[in-house]
Amino acid sequence: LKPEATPQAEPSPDTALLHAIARGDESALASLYDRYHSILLGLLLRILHSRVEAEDVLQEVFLQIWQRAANFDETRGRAFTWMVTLARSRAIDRLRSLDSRQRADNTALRDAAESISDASDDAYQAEQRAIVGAALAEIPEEQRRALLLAYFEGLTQSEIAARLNQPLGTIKTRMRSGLSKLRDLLGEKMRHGADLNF
Amino acid sequence: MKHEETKELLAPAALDALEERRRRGEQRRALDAHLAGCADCRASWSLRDATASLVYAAPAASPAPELRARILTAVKSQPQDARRRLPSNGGARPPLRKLQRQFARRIREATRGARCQDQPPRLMFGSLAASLAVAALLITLGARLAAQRPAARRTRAPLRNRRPDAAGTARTRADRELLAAPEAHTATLAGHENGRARARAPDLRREHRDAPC
Repeated sequence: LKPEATPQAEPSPDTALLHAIARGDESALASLYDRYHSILLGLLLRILHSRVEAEDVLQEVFLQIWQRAANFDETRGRAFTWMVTLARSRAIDRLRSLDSRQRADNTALRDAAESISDASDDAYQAEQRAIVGAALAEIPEEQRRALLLAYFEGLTQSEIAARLNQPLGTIKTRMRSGLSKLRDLLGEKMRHGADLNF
Repeated sequence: MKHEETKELLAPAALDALEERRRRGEQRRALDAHLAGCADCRASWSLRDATASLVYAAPAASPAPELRARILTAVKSQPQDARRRLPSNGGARPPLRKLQRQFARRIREATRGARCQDQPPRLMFGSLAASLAVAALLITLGARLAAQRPAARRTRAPLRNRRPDAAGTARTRADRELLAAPEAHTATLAGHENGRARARAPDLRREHRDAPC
Protein backbone atom coordinates (compact mmCIF):
# COMPACT_ATOMS: atom_id res chain seq x y z
CA LEU A 1 0.00 0.00 0.00
CA LYS A 2 1.06 3.53 -0.62
CA PRO A 3 3.02 4.86 2.35
CA GLU A 4 1.51 7.91 3.97
CA ALA A 5 3.60 11.04 3.66
CA THR A 6 5.66 11.79 6.72
CA PRO A 7 5.07 15.15 8.41
CA GLN A 8 8.35 16.45 6.96
CA ALA A 9 7.53 15.32 3.40
CA GLU A 10 5.10 17.00 1.05
CA PRO A 11 1.60 16.11 2.26
CA SER A 12 -0.73 14.24 -0.09
CA PRO A 13 -3.33 16.42 -1.86
CA ASP A 14 -6.08 15.09 0.44
CA THR A 15 -4.00 15.82 3.53
CA ALA A 16 -3.25 19.32 2.28
CA LEU A 17 -6.96 19.91 1.71
CA LEU A 18 -7.82 18.74 5.23
CA HIS A 19 -5.16 21.03 6.68
CA ALA A 20 -6.58 23.95 4.71
CA ILE A 21 -10.11 23.09 5.87
CA ALA A 22 -8.84 23.03 9.46
CA ARG A 23 -7.65 26.60 8.90
CA GLY A 24 -11.18 27.58 7.87
CA ASP A 25 -10.62 27.54 4.10
CA GLU A 26 -14.08 27.04 2.58
CA SER A 27 -12.68 26.67 -0.95
CA ALA A 28 -10.67 23.64 0.27
CA LEU A 29 -13.90 22.04 1.47
CA ALA A 30 -15.44 22.76 -1.91
CA SER A 31 -12.45 21.08 -3.59
CA LEU A 32 -12.74 18.03 -1.36
CA TYR A 33 -16.46 17.86 -2.10
CA ASP A 34 -15.82 18.08 -5.86
CA ARG A 35 -13.25 15.33 -5.57
CA TYR A 36 -15.19 12.82 -3.48
CA HIS A 37 -18.92 13.60 -3.47
CA SER A 38 -19.82 10.94 -6.05
CA ILE A 39 -17.71 8.21 -4.41
CA LEU A 40 -19.07 8.97 -0.95
CA LEU A 41 -22.67 9.26 -2.12
CA GLY A 42 -22.26 5.89 -3.85
CA LEU A 43 -21.12 4.40 -0.53
CA LEU A 44 -23.97 6.02 1.41
CA LEU A 45 -26.54 4.95 -1.14
CA ARG A 46 -25.27 1.38 -1.05
CA ILE A 47 -25.62 1.32 2.75
CA LEU A 48 -28.89 3.21 3.10
CA HIS A 49 -30.71 2.36 -0.15
CA SER A 50 -32.41 5.73 -0.02
CA ARG A 51 -31.32 8.79 -1.94
CA VAL A 52 -32.99 11.16 0.52
CA GLU A 53 -31.23 9.57 3.49
CA ALA A 54 -27.92 9.28 1.62
CA GLU A 55 -27.87 12.93 0.59
CA ASP A 56 -28.78 13.97 4.09
CA VAL A 57 -25.92 11.93 5.51
CA LEU A 58 -23.55 13.25 2.81
CA GLN A 59 -24.28 16.77 4.00
CA GLU A 60 -23.72 15.68 7.60
CA VAL A 61 -20.39 14.08 6.62
CA PHE A 62 -19.04 17.22 4.96
CA LEU A 63 -20.17 19.35 7.88
CA GLN A 64 -18.30 16.98 10.20
CA ILE A 65 -15.22 17.12 7.97
CA TRP A 66 -15.38 20.89 8.27
CA GLN A 67 -15.84 20.73 12.00
CA ARG A 68 -13.29 18.03 12.76
CA ALA A 69 -10.55 18.50 10.16
CA ALA A 70 -8.26 19.82 12.88
CA ASN A 71 -8.40 16.41 14.55
CA PHE A 72 -7.02 14.64 11.52
CA ASP A 73 -3.42 13.56 12.06
CA GLU A 74 -1.62 12.30 8.99
CA THR A 75 0.97 10.51 11.12
CA ARG A 76 -1.81 8.22 12.38
CA GLY A 77 -3.60 7.36 9.17
CA ARG A 78 -4.41 8.38 5.62
CA ALA A 79 -6.75 11.22 4.78
CA PHE A 80 -8.76 9.03 2.42
CA THR A 81 -9.23 6.35 5.11
CA TRP A 82 -10.20 9.01 7.67
CA MET A 83 -12.83 10.50 5.39
CA VAL A 84 -14.31 7.20 4.19
CA THR A 85 -14.40 5.84 7.76
CA LEU A 86 -16.26 8.97 8.86
CA ALA A 87 -18.79 8.63 6.04
CA ARG A 88 -19.38 4.93 6.62
CA SER A 89 -19.82 5.39 10.37
CA ARG A 90 -22.41 8.11 9.84
CA ALA A 91 -24.27 5.90 7.36
CA ILE A 92 -24.28 2.91 9.72
CA ASP A 93 -25.57 5.16 12.51
CA ARG A 94 -28.38 6.34 10.25
CA LEU A 95 -29.15 2.78 9.18
CA ARG A 96 -29.48 1.69 12.82
CA SER A 97 -31.65 4.67 13.67
CA LEU A 98 -34.19 3.81 10.97
CA ASP A 99 -37.06 1.68 12.15
CA SER A 100 -37.65 -1.73 10.59
CA ARG A 101 -40.44 -0.48 8.31
CA GLN A 102 -38.24 2.21 6.82
CA ARG A 103 -35.47 -0.34 6.38
CA ALA A 104 -37.82 -2.70 4.58
CA ASP A 105 -38.96 0.12 2.28
CA ASN A 106 -35.39 1.02 1.53
CA THR A 107 -34.37 -2.58 1.02
CA ALA A 108 -37.11 -2.92 -1.60
CA LEU A 109 -35.25 -0.28 -3.58
CA ARG A 110 -31.93 -2.06 -3.13
CA ASP A 111 -31.65 -3.57 -6.57
CA ALA A 112 -32.26 -0.27 -8.30
CA ALA A 113 -29.94 1.64 -6.01
CA GLU A 114 -27.11 -0.83 -6.31
CA SER A 115 -27.19 -1.44 -10.00
CA ILE A 116 -27.65 2.07 -11.34
CA SER A 117 -24.77 4.49 -11.37
CA ASP A 118 -25.81 8.01 -12.30
CA ALA A 119 -22.33 9.46 -12.02
CA SER A 120 -19.25 8.87 -14.07
CA ASP A 121 -15.83 8.49 -12.48
CA ASP A 122 -12.94 10.58 -13.62
CA ALA A 123 -9.99 8.67 -15.05
CA TYR A 124 -8.28 8.37 -11.69
CA GLN A 125 -11.36 7.06 -9.90
CA ALA A 126 -12.14 4.71 -12.77
CA GLU A 127 -8.65 3.26 -12.42
CA GLN A 128 -9.04 2.81 -8.69
CA ARG A 129 -12.43 1.20 -9.12
CA ALA A 130 -10.98 -1.20 -11.66
CA ILE A 131 -8.11 -2.12 -9.33
CA VAL A 132 -10.38 -2.76 -6.35
CA GLY A 133 -12.84 -4.65 -8.52
CA ALA A 134 -10.05 -6.87 -9.85
CA ALA A 135 -8.73 -7.49 -6.34
CA LEU A 136 -12.21 -8.39 -5.06
CA ALA A 137 -12.70 -10.74 -8.00
CA GLU A 138 -9.62 -12.68 -6.91
CA ILE A 139 -10.95 -13.23 -3.40
CA PRO A 140 -12.99 -16.40 -2.89
CA GLU A 141 -16.74 -15.76 -3.12
CA GLU A 142 -17.54 -16.72 0.48
CA GLN A 143 -14.81 -14.44 1.85
CA ARG A 144 -15.89 -11.57 -0.37
CA ARG A 145 -19.49 -11.99 0.74
CA ALA A 146 -18.53 -11.79 4.42
CA LEU A 147 -16.50 -8.62 3.80
CA LEU A 148 -19.24 -6.90 1.84
CA LEU A 149 -21.93 -7.79 4.38
CA ALA A 150 -19.86 -6.28 7.16
CA TYR A 151 -18.89 -3.21 5.18
CA PHE A 152 -22.14 -2.26 3.48
CA GLU A 153 -24.69 -3.60 5.95
CA GLY A 154 -22.83 -2.92 9.18
CA LEU A 155 -23.33 -6.48 10.41
CA THR A 156 -21.29 -8.00 13.20
CA GLN A 157 -19.59 -11.36 12.74
CA SER A 158 -22.38 -13.20 14.57
CA GLU A 159 -25.04 -11.42 12.50
CA ILE A 160 -23.24 -12.46 9.34
CA ALA A 161 -23.02 -16.02 10.67
CA ALA A 162 -26.77 -16.01 11.26
CA ARG A 163 -27.51 -14.46 7.89
CA LEU A 164 -25.40 -17.02 6.03
CA ASN A 165 -26.31 -19.86 8.35
CA GLN A 166 -22.65 -20.62 9.03
CA PRO A 167 -20.72 -21.21 12.26
CA LEU A 168 -19.27 -18.06 13.83
CA GLY A 169 -15.75 -19.47 13.64
CA THR A 170 -16.10 -19.94 9.91
CA ILE A 171 -17.19 -16.33 9.43
CA LYS A 172 -14.31 -15.06 11.54
CA THR A 173 -11.86 -17.00 9.42
CA ARG A 174 -13.45 -15.81 6.18
CA MET A 175 -13.37 -12.21 7.28
CA ARG A 176 -9.75 -12.37 8.42
CA SER A 177 -8.55 -14.23 5.35
CA GLY A 178 -10.57 -12.08 2.95
CA LEU A 179 -9.35 -8.77 4.34
CA SER A 180 -5.73 -9.91 4.48
CA LYS A 181 -5.95 -11.09 0.91
CA LEU A 182 -7.52 -7.82 -0.21
CA ARG A 183 -4.71 -5.88 1.44
CA ASP A 184 -2.06 -8.07 -0.15
CA LEU A 185 -3.65 -7.84 -3.59
CA LEU A 186 -3.92 -4.06 -3.40
CA GLY A 187 -0.31 -3.90 -2.24
CA GLU A 188 0.68 -6.04 -5.20
CA LYS A 189 -1.13 -3.74 -7.64
CA MET A 190 0.67 -0.86 -6.00
CA ARG A 191 4.05 -2.50 -6.58
CA HIS A 192 3.07 -2.88 -10.22
CA GLY A 193 2.72 0.85 -10.60
CA ALA A 194 -0.89 1.64 -9.81
CA ASP A 195 -1.32 4.88 -7.90
CA LEU A 196 -3.70 3.93 -5.15
CA ASN A 197 -4.76 6.54 -2.64
CA PHE A 198 -5.50 4.06 0.14
CA MET B 1 -4.92 -9.74 25.76
CA LYS B 2 -2.65 -12.28 24.10
CA HIS B 3 -1.02 -11.67 20.75
CA GLU B 4 -3.01 -14.33 18.90
CA GLU B 5 -6.30 -13.08 20.32
CA THR B 6 -5.49 -9.57 19.14
CA LYS B 7 -4.56 -10.77 15.68
CA GLU B 8 -8.02 -12.31 15.45
CA LEU B 9 -9.70 -9.04 16.33
CA LEU B 10 -7.87 -6.83 13.85
CA ALA B 11 -9.98 -7.73 10.80
CA PRO B 12 -13.39 -7.33 12.48
CA ALA B 13 -12.18 -4.15 14.18
CA ALA B 14 -11.06 -2.75 10.81
CA LEU B 15 -14.52 -3.55 9.43
CA ASP B 16 -16.21 -2.21 12.59
CA ALA B 17 -17.80 -5.65 12.94
CA LEU B 18 -16.52 -6.72 16.34
CA GLU B 19 -18.48 -9.46 17.99
CA GLU B 20 -21.42 -8.59 20.25
CA ARG B 21 -22.05 -4.86 20.30
CA ARG B 22 -22.42 -4.84 24.08
CA ARG B 23 -18.86 -6.17 24.50
CA ARG B 24 -17.27 -3.95 21.88
CA GLY B 25 -15.96 -1.36 24.32
CA GLU B 26 -14.31 -4.05 26.39
CA GLN B 27 -12.75 -5.70 23.33
CA ARG B 28 -11.54 -2.42 21.98
CA ARG B 29 -9.89 -1.35 25.20
CA ALA B 30 -8.08 -4.69 25.34
CA LEU B 31 -7.07 -4.29 21.72
CA ASP B 32 -5.74 -0.79 22.35
CA ALA B 33 -3.74 -1.99 25.32
CA HIS B 34 -2.13 -4.75 23.29
CA LEU B 35 -1.39 -2.55 20.31
CA ALA B 36 0.36 -0.05 22.56
CA GLY B 37 3.20 -2.53 22.95
CA CYS B 38 3.04 -4.66 19.81
CA ALA B 39 4.70 -3.33 16.65
CA ASP B 40 3.66 -6.41 14.67
CA CYS B 41 -0.06 -5.87 15.31
CA ARG B 42 0.25 -2.15 14.67
CA ALA B 43 1.78 -2.91 11.29
CA SER B 44 -1.23 -5.11 10.53
CA TRP B 45 -3.48 -2.12 11.04
CA SER B 46 -3.03 -1.34 7.33
CA LEU B 47 -6.07 -3.63 7.11
CA ARG B 48 -8.05 -0.48 7.75
CA ASP B 49 -6.77 1.11 4.55
CA ALA B 50 -7.78 -2.02 2.64
CA THR B 51 -11.22 -1.72 4.26
CA ALA B 52 -11.55 1.90 3.10
CA SER B 53 -10.83 0.77 -0.47
CA LEU B 54 -14.12 -1.13 -0.44
CA VAL B 55 -15.80 2.21 -1.06
CA TYR B 56 -14.95 1.58 -4.72
CA ALA B 57 -17.11 -1.53 -4.70
CA ALA B 58 -20.17 0.73 -4.74
CA PRO B 59 -21.13 2.55 -7.94
CA ALA B 60 -20.63 6.30 -7.90
CA ALA B 61 -23.69 8.51 -7.61
CA SER B 62 -24.41 12.18 -8.23
CA PRO B 63 -26.08 14.19 -5.48
CA ALA B 64 -28.62 16.90 -6.20
CA PRO B 65 -26.75 19.89 -7.68
CA GLU B 66 -27.92 22.22 -4.92
CA LEU B 67 -26.36 20.08 -2.17
CA ARG B 68 -22.90 21.59 -2.72
CA ALA B 69 -24.15 25.13 -2.21
CA ARG B 70 -26.21 24.03 0.79
CA ILE B 71 -23.13 22.53 2.47
CA LEU B 72 -20.93 25.55 1.72
CA THR B 73 -23.59 27.84 3.13
CA ALA B 74 -24.07 25.70 6.22
CA VAL B 75 -20.37 25.68 7.14
CA LYS B 76 -20.36 29.45 7.42
CA SER B 77 -22.24 29.13 10.69
CA GLN B 78 -20.60 25.86 11.75
CA PRO B 79 -17.87 26.20 14.40
CA GLN B 80 -14.66 24.23 13.89
CA ASP B 81 -12.74 22.21 16.45
CA ALA B 82 -9.66 23.98 17.73
CA ARG B 83 -6.34 23.05 16.20
CA ARG B 84 -5.07 19.88 17.82
CA ARG B 85 -1.35 20.61 17.88
CA LEU B 86 -0.12 23.33 20.14
CA PRO B 87 3.37 24.64 20.90
CA SER B 88 5.22 22.51 23.45
CA ASN B 89 4.10 24.80 26.30
CA GLY B 90 0.65 25.17 24.80
CA GLY B 91 1.33 28.83 24.09
CA ALA B 92 1.04 29.60 27.79
CA ARG B 93 3.03 32.33 29.47
CA PRO B 94 5.90 31.27 31.73
CA PRO B 95 4.56 30.53 35.19
CA LEU B 96 4.98 33.16 37.91
CA ARG B 97 7.31 30.97 39.99
CA LYS B 98 9.67 30.67 37.03
CA LEU B 99 9.74 34.47 36.67
CA GLN B 100 10.39 34.83 40.38
CA ARG B 101 13.31 32.39 40.14
CA GLN B 102 14.73 34.35 37.21
CA PHE B 103 14.48 37.61 39.16
CA ALA B 104 16.10 36.03 42.21
CA ARG B 105 18.98 34.73 40.11
CA ARG B 106 19.55 38.16 38.60
CA ILE B 107 19.55 39.75 42.04
CA ARG B 108 22.11 37.22 43.27
CA GLU B 109 24.26 37.94 40.22
CA ALA B 110 23.97 41.68 40.72
CA THR B 111 24.80 41.39 44.42
CA ARG B 112 27.81 39.21 43.67
CA GLY B 113 28.99 41.86 41.21
CA ALA B 114 28.64 44.55 43.91
CA ARG B 115 30.96 42.63 46.23
CA CYS B 116 33.64 42.22 43.58
CA GLN B 117 36.71 44.20 44.64
CA ASP B 118 37.91 44.73 41.04
CA GLN B 119 34.69 46.37 39.93
CA PRO B 120 34.65 50.17 39.54
CA PRO B 121 32.76 51.88 42.44
CA ARG B 122 30.12 53.47 40.14
CA LEU B 123 29.16 50.11 38.64
CA MET B 124 29.08 48.52 42.10
CA PHE B 125 26.77 51.27 43.27
CA GLY B 126 24.61 50.95 40.15
CA SER B 127 24.26 47.17 40.57
CA LEU B 128 23.31 47.59 44.20
CA ALA B 129 20.71 50.24 43.29
CA ALA B 130 19.30 48.01 40.55
CA SER B 131 19.03 45.02 42.84
CA LEU B 132 17.32 47.14 45.51
CA ALA B 133 14.84 48.41 42.93
CA VAL B 134 14.06 44.86 41.76
CA ALA B 135 13.75 43.70 45.37
CA ALA B 136 11.31 46.55 46.07
CA LEU B 137 9.29 45.57 43.00
CA LEU B 138 9.16 41.97 44.11
CA ILE B 139 8.07 42.96 47.62
CA THR B 140 5.27 45.09 46.16
CA LEU B 141 4.15 42.29 43.87
CA GLY B 142 4.34 39.81 46.74
CA ALA B 143 2.20 42.05 48.96
CA ARG B 144 -0.44 42.37 46.22
CA LEU B 145 -0.49 38.64 45.65
CA ALA B 146 -0.81 38.03 49.38
CA ALA B 147 -3.77 40.44 49.48
CA GLN B 148 -5.47 38.60 46.62
CA ARG B 149 -4.73 35.10 47.97
CA PRO B 150 -7.74 34.76 50.36
CA ALA B 151 -10.15 35.75 47.60
CA ALA B 152 -8.48 33.35 45.18
CA ARG B 153 -8.69 30.60 47.79
CA ARG B 154 -12.40 31.24 48.20
CA THR B 155 -12.90 31.10 44.43
CA ARG B 156 -10.91 27.89 44.08
CA ALA B 157 -12.45 26.09 47.03
CA PRO B 158 -15.60 24.83 45.27
CA LEU B 159 -13.52 23.69 42.34
CA ARG B 160 -10.84 21.91 44.34
CA ASN B 161 -12.61 18.59 44.44
CA ARG B 162 -13.19 18.69 40.71
CA ARG B 163 -9.61 19.46 39.70
CA PRO B 164 -8.39 16.49 37.61
CA ASP B 165 -5.39 14.52 38.74
CA ALA B 166 -2.94 13.08 36.18
CA ALA B 167 -5.22 10.11 35.50
CA GLY B 168 -8.18 12.44 35.11
CA THR B 169 -6.28 14.58 32.62
CA ALA B 170 -5.36 11.48 30.62
CA ARG B 171 -9.00 10.39 30.69
CA THR B 172 -10.10 13.80 29.46
CA ARG B 173 -7.60 13.59 26.61
CA ALA B 174 -8.78 10.08 25.75
CA ASP B 175 -12.40 11.25 25.81
CA ARG B 176 -11.55 14.11 23.50
CA GLU B 177 -9.82 11.72 21.08
CA LEU B 178 -12.74 9.34 21.34
CA LEU B 179 -15.18 12.03 20.29
CA ALA B 180 -12.92 13.15 17.47
CA ALA B 181 -12.28 9.73 15.92
CA PRO B 182 -13.87 9.23 12.49
CA GLU B 183 -15.24 5.80 13.45
CA ALA B 184 -17.10 7.26 16.44
CA HIS B 185 -20.76 6.32 16.26
CA THR B 186 -23.66 8.46 17.31
CA ALA B 187 -27.00 7.32 18.60
CA THR B 188 -30.02 9.22 19.82
CA LEU B 189 -30.68 8.49 23.47
CA ALA B 190 -34.16 7.29 24.32
CA GLY B 191 -36.11 9.93 26.22
CA HIS B 192 -33.85 12.76 25.06
CA GLU B 193 -35.14 14.58 22.07
CA ASN B 194 -31.78 16.11 21.28
CA GLY B 195 -29.59 13.80 23.30
CA ARG B 196 -26.70 12.20 21.45
CA ALA B 197 -24.26 9.59 22.63
CA ARG B 198 -20.97 8.69 20.99
CA ALA B 199 -18.89 5.57 21.11
CA ARG B 200 -15.78 4.78 19.17
CA ALA B 201 -13.97 1.89 17.58
CA PRO B 202 -10.52 1.20 19.06
CA ASP B 203 -8.06 3.97 18.97
CA LEU B 204 -5.57 2.00 17.00
CA ARG B 205 -3.91 5.07 15.64
CA ARG B 206 -2.27 6.16 18.84
CA GLU B 207 1.41 6.77 18.79
CA HIS B 208 2.91 3.65 20.22
CA ARG B 209 6.34 2.51 21.20
CA ASP B 210 7.99 0.22 18.71
CA ALA B 211 8.72 -2.52 21.16
CA PRO B 212 8.28 -5.98 19.65
CA CYS B 213 5.41 -8.06 20.90
